[in-house]
Amino acid sequence: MRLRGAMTREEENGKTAKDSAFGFEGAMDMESSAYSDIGGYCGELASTYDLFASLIDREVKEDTAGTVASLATVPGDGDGTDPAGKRVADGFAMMGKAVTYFDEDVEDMLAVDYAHVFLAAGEHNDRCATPYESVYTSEEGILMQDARDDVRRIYRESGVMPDGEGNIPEDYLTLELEYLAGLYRRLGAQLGEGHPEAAGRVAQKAYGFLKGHLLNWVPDLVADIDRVATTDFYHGLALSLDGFLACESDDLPALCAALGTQSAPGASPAARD
Amino acid sequence: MSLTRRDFLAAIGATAALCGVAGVGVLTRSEDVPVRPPGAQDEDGFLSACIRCDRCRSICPESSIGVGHIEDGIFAARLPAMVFHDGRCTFCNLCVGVCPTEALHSIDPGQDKLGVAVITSNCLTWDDPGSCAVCRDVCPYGAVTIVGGMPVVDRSICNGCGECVHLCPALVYRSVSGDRSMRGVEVYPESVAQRKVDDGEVR
Repeated sequence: MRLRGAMTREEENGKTAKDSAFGFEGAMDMESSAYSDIGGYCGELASTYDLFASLIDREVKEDTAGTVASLATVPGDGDGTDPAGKRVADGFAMMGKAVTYFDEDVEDMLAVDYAHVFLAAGEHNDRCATPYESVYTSEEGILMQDARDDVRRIYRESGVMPDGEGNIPEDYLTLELEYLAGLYRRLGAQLGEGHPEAAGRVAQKAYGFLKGHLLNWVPDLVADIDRVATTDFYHGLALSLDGFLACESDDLPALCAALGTQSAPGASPAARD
Repeated sequence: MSLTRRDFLAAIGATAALCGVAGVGVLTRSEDVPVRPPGAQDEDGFLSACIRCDRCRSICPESSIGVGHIEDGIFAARLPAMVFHDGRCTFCNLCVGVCPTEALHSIDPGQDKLGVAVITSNCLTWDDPGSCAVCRDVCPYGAVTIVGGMPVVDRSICNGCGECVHLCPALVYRSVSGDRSMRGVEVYPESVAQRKVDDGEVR
């Protein structure tokens, strides 16, 4: 299954590294103002994760539609050298166009598609886009498997837990995105306060989680979203989420390198130091 | 106008933040996992094995094992946790011997850890370097050194026995604001300690 407008990883080879958002060379010698600058950017990335988390978690309402519509006007990838960034921009453009005129009919139509895609409403024979990692990574394709246990362990080590514990499996995509948003906020705060070493450990933890969890299954999920969805809004969401995580897959190692933490990706942060 | 990827992603995040997108807020700060008795450092395994029978707390000759209370949550209530204010763990293994479900295991104090000690903001040297070195003097494993008048814990040596917490005089010598039960040095599970160091809460 291939997303509309998506390039294969092979097609992107050779382009992604230099397209990194953190593509500064000699970054080890950064001034504190540069750290503070990256810290601000991390805060903005956290908000992007929050936006995706909320779009996956619930149907589109008027306020979210307004936000998405305004994002569609942000120009991206003017020179065509950043395929992953282009997917984000194209995805937001599709979503924005779908909610430019947002009335009750559009709201209902998108709510129906949301239920169809994520809640399996009207799906009897085929798998819908169930936003839980265990479903995509376990042999049986069911909830509450090894992925959930591992994510739960990671949350606990980081001192967070789902609100109303016991009701939501920890490997729910919204929670995984929120977890990364939280790490980026912590990272931004540490850079702002001038603690690049601590920030480096958080960046490493974020990359470990991205590689060990989100990238494990979200590419398959977005392919399912794209297959099941009937509206441009959710086709666009699939495209932009796929592109965004591809961007992150390029950029986070560069951030780790910039902050001087270049250990093996996926290494347990708890084992460090 | 063409934007770099970074400018573009920053613009998306900034716009989302300006529009008040604040996430879903279903992931909240949890209470820190406490230090568990010997051999119970795998929290999930311990949660499933412990039957809250209280035998480990009752038999501990140093009174260094306490239990969780109902206000800690339904899962944590009556689960044993180390409380070093009355004594340290001597790794005597009496608790391991009385555990009926093998939720506790004997550990090697030279290799394994209950947790690691960190220096908190209640430490006397936080404001007055050189004023105290009790934790260094009492550590049975030589894990604490004084650098620039302040204690530094070598987390590769410290096994979380809790002697430094037991004898820390910070709450005796001065009144403190904030968490009045927190001493100048505290032991946390390794991952919790690392996070607190990263967050600048402790050092």
